[in-house]
Amino acid sequence: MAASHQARPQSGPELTAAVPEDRLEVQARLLAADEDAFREIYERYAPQVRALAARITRDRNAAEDVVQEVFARLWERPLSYDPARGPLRAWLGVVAHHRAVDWVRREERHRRAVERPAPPAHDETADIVTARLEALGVRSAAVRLPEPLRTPLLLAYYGSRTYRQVACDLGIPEGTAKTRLRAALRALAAALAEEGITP
Amino acid sequence: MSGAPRPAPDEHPELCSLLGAWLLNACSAQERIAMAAHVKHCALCAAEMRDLHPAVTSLTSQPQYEDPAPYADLMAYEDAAAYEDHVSYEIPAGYENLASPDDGSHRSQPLSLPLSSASSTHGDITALAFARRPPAPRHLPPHIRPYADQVATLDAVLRDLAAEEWNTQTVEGWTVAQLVAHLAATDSLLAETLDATARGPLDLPGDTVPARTRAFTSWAVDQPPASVHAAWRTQADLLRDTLVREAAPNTPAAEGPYTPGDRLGLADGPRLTLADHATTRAFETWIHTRDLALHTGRRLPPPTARSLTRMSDLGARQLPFAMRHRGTPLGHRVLHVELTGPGGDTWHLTDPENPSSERPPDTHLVVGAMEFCLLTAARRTPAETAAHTRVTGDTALADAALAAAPAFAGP
Repeated sequence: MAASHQARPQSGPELTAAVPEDRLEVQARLLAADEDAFREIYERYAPQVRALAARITRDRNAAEDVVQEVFARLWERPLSYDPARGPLRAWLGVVAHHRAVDWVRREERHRRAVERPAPPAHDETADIVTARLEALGVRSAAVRLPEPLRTPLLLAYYGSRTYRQVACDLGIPEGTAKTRLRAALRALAAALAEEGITP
Repeated sequence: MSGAPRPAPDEHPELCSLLGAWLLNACSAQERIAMAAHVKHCALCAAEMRDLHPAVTSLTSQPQYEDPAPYADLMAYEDAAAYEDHVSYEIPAGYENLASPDDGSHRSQPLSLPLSSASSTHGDITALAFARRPPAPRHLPPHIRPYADQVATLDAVLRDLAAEEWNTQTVEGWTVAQLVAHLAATDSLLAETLDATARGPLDLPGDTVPARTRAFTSWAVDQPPASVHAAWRTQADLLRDTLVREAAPNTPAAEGPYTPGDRLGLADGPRLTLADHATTRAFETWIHTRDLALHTGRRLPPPTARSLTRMSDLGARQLPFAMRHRGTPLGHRVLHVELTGPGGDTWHLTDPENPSSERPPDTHLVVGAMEFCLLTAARRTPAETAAHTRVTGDTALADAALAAAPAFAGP
């Protein structure tokens, strides 16, 4: 068999050497449909995914559905996780958050449709979350943001509120809500960089 | 800039302000779609997205999730059920208050999840996941595992492709579909060589790899992607099962020299054991999966470490044969090859005709195992690999070794 003389691309599709080896090996084993790898990942991360989903949905069954869906998606499409962008833990968190928020919004639409009592005023959610994080002793950068940035961020993230709902909750213009969400993320990113934390 | 779709001139100021809300999943569905399209062609927003991404992931992965009581939140719900009429948001000593009193619909649901272990729901989790994508067999001989790994990996990549991507041009003038058919062709030939009764799903002619490949790639031209995918996968599983059967303890060929006929042998190459044949199939399946990923814009991690170990070992052991094949035999010289990173090891290589040379190595060559495997598959040029290789001793010998390494690379 002779070597092909076709021109070869200079660089391959490999993730760069800068990506930690353990992340790459985890993804390689998931791609290889390695059942043991899946079980290990599940044992390790399901509790935190469940906790996050439960915090947002405030519904045990919904949280369990989110956990199932997140892990089934990882197994079915291992390429949807990009190891260059962060550890698997962070990817699972982001996907779980999106699924949980989608569930909350569906529930809200459903609740409105059947004229059930309105959910609690969500401007209180931010206080609750903040207080809880403090109660846990978490010196989180998010908790230490100035109030005008912290409240919209926590409402949007943990309260599943859109920026329009945030504006309504806080009695501020929509444009201001958008600006504050973006500013909150910038401040948070800067604080993380200062602390040398990479997620 | 020229190739990308251009954004509407006034789109950026409006959409860039949405970036924070979008990253937090806090905008409408229409805005979500508009932003996803916008960041693809707006370098400013794409850069800001990258900068802000750590902030978003930090919210999902805050330190409290790492604490040894991961069910704190669920306990909070359990406790919340006892606070049916609790209307204040005071924080008692624990975490109870997270579940704010609301319309009560949540609290009416019994919280039956055991708090001590995740395993009670574990069966459900694997059931949903494995129904969508079956796991590889759990127990395989170690020399067959790399092939199973690479087959499952290609399968995952093929599942990721849209139907039209199967027509993408790859290597050797083949489309994705033809490249997959080529793998099935070689797999079918090896399976039949090992066991004449191991007939795959396609009964196509050809007694050599090129002839069988022509038959398979011609067949694939007008087949729907699902047919090509299924035919390859069925053939791959058949080869795996055949390899496993041949490797059963009562068959002698498992690790000894094994010559399954001339048609799969390499000219001037070493005699391959059955394990080596399994490794060559893993190797080729990986390399073409990589080709496919490259041409369809996907990024792959390196193969599993256990696969790279076998592949780099085969490549290193074949090196003296490759050098003879290229007319630059080792002769009485000794070559030390040290492959680094996952799948790496060290080999003391001598010419097949002077196997017991006791002299100290003339050349010591250090290169990454992955890089070396890509070179032996002709996915790197010797010059490219040389740039990542550390050589001590006779550099001419090192150059000859690197130049010969791809000698057995085929289509």
